[in-house]
Amino acid sequence: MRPMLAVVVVAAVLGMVKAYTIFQASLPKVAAERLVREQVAGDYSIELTLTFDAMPDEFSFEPVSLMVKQDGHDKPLLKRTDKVEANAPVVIDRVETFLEGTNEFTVEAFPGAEDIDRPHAVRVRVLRGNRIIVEKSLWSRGGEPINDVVAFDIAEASDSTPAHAHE
Amino acid sequence: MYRTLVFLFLFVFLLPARADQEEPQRVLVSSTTQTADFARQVVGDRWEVKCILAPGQDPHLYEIKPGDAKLVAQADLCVQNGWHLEGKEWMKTLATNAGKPLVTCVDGLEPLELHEEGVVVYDPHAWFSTINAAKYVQNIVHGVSQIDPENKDEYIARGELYVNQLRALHSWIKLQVNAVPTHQRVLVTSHDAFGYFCSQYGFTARAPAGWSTGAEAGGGVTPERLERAFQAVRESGVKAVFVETSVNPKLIREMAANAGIRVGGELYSDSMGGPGTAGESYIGMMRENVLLIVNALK
Repeated sequence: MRPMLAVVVVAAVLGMVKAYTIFQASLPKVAAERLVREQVAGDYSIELTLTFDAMPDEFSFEPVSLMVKQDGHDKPLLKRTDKVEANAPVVIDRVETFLEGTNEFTVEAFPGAEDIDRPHAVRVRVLRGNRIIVEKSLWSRGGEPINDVVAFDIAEASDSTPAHAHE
Repeated sequence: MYRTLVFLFLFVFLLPARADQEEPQRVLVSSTTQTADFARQVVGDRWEVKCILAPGQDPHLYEIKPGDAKLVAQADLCVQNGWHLEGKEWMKTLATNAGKPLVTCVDGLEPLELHEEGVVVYDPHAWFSTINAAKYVQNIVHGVSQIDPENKDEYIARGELYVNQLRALHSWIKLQVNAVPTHQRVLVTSHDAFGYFCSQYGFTARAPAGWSTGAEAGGGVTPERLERAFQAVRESGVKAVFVETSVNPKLIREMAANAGIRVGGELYSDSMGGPGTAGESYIGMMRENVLLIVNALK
């Protein structure tokens, strides 16, 4: 009696699972919404000005002094492994990867291992042609590298609607 | 009847869960407590990290035990410090005998050369430089990524987070050490283990015993070294000398008594602290050492 009951229970459970999968498969398919963001036209550039000399970082796995990476891109927009002088603007020209909507890039800048006594800053400006569309200062405490995000919106792909930065 | 039903339900519902379980953990066997800590920071829960040396044990004098070969036989990867910290190359011997891959953490580092008894030896205590510690981590990331390339990105991410902590530690040490007047920055310890620390943070190192507590060239206590250490104590006017957790404190205590100065405390040197102590991690060990040194010498 008991083995028979066991077989019946197992068959019932498996049957219910099968019935559920059949029911799931019979449901109408909903087409996924396609989210395509247009690449924006225009002559975009990023300008970075450091308050300190950035040095190749002795702690990092790669000796980077200054790096800028855009969201979703493995290849950095800028990767410097040499000394970057303070107060000398570094410009990344012709940034062609900005998209309509929210854009984001990270800035990493490394003070030397001996430079620990003062806070550091990088002024970041995003320009379209000669017009500044975003300006932001990124700060770190003494001795720490700057590692921060600049996020901003570009309203439409083709027009010159001003962007606004996220706080 | 009721029991049969319960059994059947458990059988039916637990069987798939068993099949979904993750693959077994890989095993990493490390020679020293420091390298084991670095490895744990990199591998997370993906690997089981085992350490041959117990907290407080001296790697220079360690003799291989029967259980060690068994431990290494389970390993997917072995990790050692290198530059003869492991006296008579005991970790290399274990790994080679078991046919296991071995990561040597000092690979690629700039050694501190010690000219002793007509020979040049590389000071193996390189982890006392926080910058070198970051390179240890990098070598371990490289080693585990070769064994488990699928999770390489994860090991790199953990390693990068940890070296950020090392960078913060470095800045903190610099600021702490600033409280000690430069002419009082003489670090007298049982054996010559703090060369990299002293070089990075502006101290002069003195010790009655050489780079090793063993009998290798440049190791052990010699009359010349003893005299140099005494001279450093007399001339610098240091307020304290330090014993080490993994070395017999007798000589330093005698030295302090003879010079009429105090023993500043017990530094973690070739081995970290046991579970539950402040020195059970590398960062904790460095923090406690620095606090002890600064408070005793300032």
